Amino acid sequence: METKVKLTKLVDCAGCGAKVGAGELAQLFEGFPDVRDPNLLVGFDHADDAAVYKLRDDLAIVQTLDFFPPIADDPFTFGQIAAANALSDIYAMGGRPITALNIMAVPEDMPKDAVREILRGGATKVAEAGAIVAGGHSIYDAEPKYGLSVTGVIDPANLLRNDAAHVGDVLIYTKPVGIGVLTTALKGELAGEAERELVEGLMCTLNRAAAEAARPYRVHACTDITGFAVLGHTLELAQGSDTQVELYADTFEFLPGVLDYASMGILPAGVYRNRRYAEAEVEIDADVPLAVADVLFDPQTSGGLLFAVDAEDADALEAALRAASPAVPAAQRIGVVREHDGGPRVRVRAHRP
Amino acid sequence: MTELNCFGETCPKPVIRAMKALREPDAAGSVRVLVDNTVAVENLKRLAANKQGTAEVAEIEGGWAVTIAGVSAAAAENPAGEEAALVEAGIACPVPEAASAKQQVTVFVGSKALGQGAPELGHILIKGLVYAMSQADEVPHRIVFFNDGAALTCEGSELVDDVRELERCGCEVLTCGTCLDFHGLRDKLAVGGVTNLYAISEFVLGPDKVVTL
Repeated sequence: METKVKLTKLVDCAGCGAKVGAGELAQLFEGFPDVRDPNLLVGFDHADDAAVYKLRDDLAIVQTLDFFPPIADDPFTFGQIAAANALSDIYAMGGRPITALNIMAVPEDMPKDAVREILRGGATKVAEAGAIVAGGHSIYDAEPKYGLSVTGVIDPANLLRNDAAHVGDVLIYTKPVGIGVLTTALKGELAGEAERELVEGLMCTLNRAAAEAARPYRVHACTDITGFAVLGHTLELAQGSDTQVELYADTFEFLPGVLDYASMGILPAGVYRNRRYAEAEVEIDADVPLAVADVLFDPQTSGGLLFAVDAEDADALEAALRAASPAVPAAQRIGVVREHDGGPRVRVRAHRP
Repeated sequence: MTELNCFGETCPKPVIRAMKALREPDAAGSVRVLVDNTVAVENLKRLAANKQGTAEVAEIEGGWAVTIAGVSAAAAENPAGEEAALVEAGIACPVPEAASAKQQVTVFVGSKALGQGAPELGHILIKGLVYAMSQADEVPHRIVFFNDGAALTCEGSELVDDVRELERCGCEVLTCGTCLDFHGLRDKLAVGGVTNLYAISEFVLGPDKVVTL
């Protein structure tokens, strides 16, 4: 089927780069009615990936919603990425997705086959996740947007929060870093077809295999790394767990070319938004190059899972993740959780000691 | 000095226009870029540093004027630079383009078997060789699958994981589109991109050393 629309030409911000800054969000919710319910295990106040509500002692529902403007030109690919990104929050909580509802905005004059392809992309990924698209809602809007609201289930005993890391845990991350920079380079026509396939393939990859590979191990905390970048999400984990995180710049797997693009200033606006939000609590050693620091603030649309795993299980988890390649694109041991020494919550060193 | 009005333009655009302008001989190593957002200001500062030039920012009505100056012709042309230094410092994964000035290699794979003889043995050999290449310190610049070799990058091939590893290490993986169509495999491609004979002729006539298996 021919769909000639170049979707990313229709939008200003791409993917998770369009996310409202974390600091701004906290302000928006100030002073709202404070309704408490002991069954709400994870809600607003936690800055976690999804809401979790306990129905029975052994059953809770996990709810999440995610949508954004096109990050890929091809409608089918965009649909898949949006769905993989929305489903990711369920995996990040340790849950299993069961149903999903489409959320869509399209320009009135957008070709119907392109609209269909976006929805088909979403449906394909939801099916791959073993869940069902049960409905949805669409409106007309000048700029296209697509995403899903996903519901999952979990036994509360297996819940993976982002605020429960232990001192001594090892941090392992499951996708190469630099998705936002590379998509910006593609938008600027600096990167080629091979890079497009690489980064789009990565964004379309479900975090299901990573979540499943991690199940047997003592994972104390988990989050997916998306719009707030490696450093923003790591900061949330460190703050929530009242710990300090040390990351090592030389342990990251960066997508090909992104350090070059970053040093040339091919950076999405989200890099600076994330920097502003996290900077006060993040200390980056002077020998970490600016390009590397910038990429660690780069929004990762449909990024991977970050596990804080018991140090004794770290080797086994890393091996299990590697064995699941390519369904798990990477297994990078990016840092460790330490006791908070009163200083910045996240410290980035150039090299692993 | 060249002046670019980038009001109303976001993310990569002002930088890309400035990069192009710096390459023009008329620019003589400097360009003044008018922008209306701080992201563009910051990105242009990084571009100037990357090109070993200076950046001066002045507030103007509705935005900023960023003047990049002192960029040598060589730096304006050179797309990379910093990444090589990072690789040396052990911070970045080596990418072939930046790793060294050594001659790069394009490998052509035209068959499911390596060498003449028993096809089963040939297949074992090609599988072993592709695995070995994927584990090498320097992977090939590019690998092109054609004729019967096109099936090796498609679903059902035992080589897919190793070819993916090659790709992950920075090797460009391509399969001939005509060959995929001939074998009815266009929908089955599992790794890398699709290429055509125009591109292949450029690879053959280009600067890379060409090796055909």
